[in-house]
Amino acid sequence: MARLKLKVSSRLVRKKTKKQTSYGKKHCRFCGKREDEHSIDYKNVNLLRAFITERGKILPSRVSGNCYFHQRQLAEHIKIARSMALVPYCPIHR
Amino acid sequence: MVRYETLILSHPEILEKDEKKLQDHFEGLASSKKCELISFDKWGKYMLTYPVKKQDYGIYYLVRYSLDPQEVQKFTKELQEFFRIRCSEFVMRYLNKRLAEDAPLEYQKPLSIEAAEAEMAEAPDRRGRPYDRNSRRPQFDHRREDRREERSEERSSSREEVKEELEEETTIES
Repeated sequence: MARLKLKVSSRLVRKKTKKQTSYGKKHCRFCGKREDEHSIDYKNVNLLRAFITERGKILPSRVSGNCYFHQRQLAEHIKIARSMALVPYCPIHR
Repeated sequence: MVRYETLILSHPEILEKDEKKLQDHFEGLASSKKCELISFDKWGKYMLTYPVKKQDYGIYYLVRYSLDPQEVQKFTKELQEFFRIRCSEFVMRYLNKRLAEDAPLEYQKPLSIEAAEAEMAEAPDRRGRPYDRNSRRPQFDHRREDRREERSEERSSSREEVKEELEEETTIES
């Protein structure tokens, strides 16, 4: 009785490990904290820069984990900051 | 009374008399009781994220005042006339915004060029060396690196377990 080993594809292994290791659900980082809600502001550029990509696009809530309400608020303030040249519209302006 | 604020973006080479003109205008409005002036802040010089009126740099001013909400329309119209007609040479852009009722007066602002340079000159490196301005490299985060290693170890161990399981499933006894 000889045991034959079949080759296991690395893609399948990766797929299974991804299912087993749970990272937990994403949370909106502004919900429940009154102080943090006021930090959403067009002047607070360091915070806004965390929610835009390298290309200057607004991150979707699917990625950032924000709730519906705060995602709208953030998007509004990013657009205001753009109009005052605090945050870029696109990476290469010059 | 409701609080409002105006952010003004001015020409980088604004003259002192023009700067005073802006401040005097708001102080004049306050003295004639059209509004109550809360603060007039000069942020300093900034590198703009895109050129405005062919200028790569600009100076920001933040003015805060409180108003009767019924007079806002008239007030903003007068402000617009002031900026567009009398300050058109040095005011490049401006923005009026209403402050939330329970919002605090403290706010976060980006670092201006002068403040960033001063901070860089003072702040030492992670190992106590003075910051090298020529090579602006991000600081190496040791804690983050450790966490990454831990996580990769966890993942690799679980990956081996899964591999063994899969191998057991796929072995055929002949």
